Amino acid sequence: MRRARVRHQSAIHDVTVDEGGRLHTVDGRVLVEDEVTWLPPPHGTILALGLNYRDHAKELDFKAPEEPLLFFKTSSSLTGHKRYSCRPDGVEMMHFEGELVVVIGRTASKVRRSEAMNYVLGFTIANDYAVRDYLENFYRPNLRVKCRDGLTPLGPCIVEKSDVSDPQSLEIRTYVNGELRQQGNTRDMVFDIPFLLEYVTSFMTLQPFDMISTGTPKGLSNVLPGDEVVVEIEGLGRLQNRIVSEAEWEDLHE
Amino acid sequence: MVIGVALNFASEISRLAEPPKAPVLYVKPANTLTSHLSPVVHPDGIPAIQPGPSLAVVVARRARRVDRREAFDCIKGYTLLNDFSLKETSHFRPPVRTKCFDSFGPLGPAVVPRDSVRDPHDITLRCRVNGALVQEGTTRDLVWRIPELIEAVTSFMTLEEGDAIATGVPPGRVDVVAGDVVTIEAVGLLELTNPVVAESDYRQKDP
Repeated sequence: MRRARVRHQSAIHDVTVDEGGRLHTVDGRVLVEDEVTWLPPPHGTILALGLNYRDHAKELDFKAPEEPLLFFKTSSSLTGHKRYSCRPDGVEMMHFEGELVVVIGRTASKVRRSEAMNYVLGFTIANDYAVRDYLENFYRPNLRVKCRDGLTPLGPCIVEKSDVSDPQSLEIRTYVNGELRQQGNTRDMVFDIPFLLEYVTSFMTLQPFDMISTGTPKGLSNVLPGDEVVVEIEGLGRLQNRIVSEAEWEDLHE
Repeated sequence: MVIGVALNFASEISRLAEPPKAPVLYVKPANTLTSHLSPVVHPDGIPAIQPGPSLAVVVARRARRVDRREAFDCIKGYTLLNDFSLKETSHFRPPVRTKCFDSFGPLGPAVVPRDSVRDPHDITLRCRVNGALVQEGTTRDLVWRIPELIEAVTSFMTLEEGDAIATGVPPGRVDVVAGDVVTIEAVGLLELTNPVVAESDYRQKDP
């Protein structure tokens, strides 16, 4: 099953998406994709991983970490499929990060690796953009880099795990204006999903719809206003986003 | 949502080779938050945990791109965050495991309305363990003061009604262990008390 959240005529609906892309509301109505605004899927606390692919760590001249490098994504930093993310004026480097996101299905505390997948509801896609100009060596990556309003497309849907054959063997591809810029496979994670669930739930209790975004593979590049960026993960779909300038962003938020 | 601020006391900054260019922010997620008199769980296998008295500013309304001169307009009032942490050995990576164990963020006990606080930059913060004073500081020593924090945070991140910015823990954190009772105080305004319990005891009582 695929679940999504959309806005239709100023009401917010949690919907299921069928194979034909039709959106079914809980009260049995069918919405057409062209008439809705995609919102981030239902979510709680979101953790994200830095440097969780060996090739990516190498690309940034970092050794792969010995312990997961975690940070939080705030709710206001999210945006939906086919929405916009802002590149601040005057920055040198803002890059995409295509990532597999694990969605928690039931309350999870002190979960053992061997049982971790029982706590997973499904998966979705994030594009965890970073504005590198704002990196500092304090609590890196800091909130100014990763938690900017609307910076992070999430979705389009949560795909239930029964519809995903092997989450540790999925191709991730990121396209900018149709050109393939990033390609990797979830088998190359430094810390795999069961390890991450065991690690995170060793200190914090996760609730249904909390999420862990599992990091990005190699292949970062700069994006500019006007760019159309698509993250595609095998079996999960395509998460589309357009980069806008600060002026366009302000217009959208008038 | 609660945002914390690290390294926000003058004496901490003076020791650094290069001071931060912007407030050093972190997230206290929902699993950390708990209330006055609720237990703080001391995780098994960890020698000690450290309370951290912090004055928190509670946001009154959606706040985006707020100018520091207008920052007080979006404040509803003040409360306390007892910003529990493991001992921090470095500020290089985000303090996720350090500060985000379940129950590591007692918040409360009430919100003191903004206008009943004469000067939020002249509040004495104290921490008492089993009644004994162990840590004291004052918001006079904040590096980034409240209007600057609100301006800095809302320059890139929208805050919603009820969100809070915990303005910082003064230097001098101490260790506490299961069995201790910790009270933090904004002198004359608020007192927030929490017993520290062992994880093994807590789990047995957990239904």
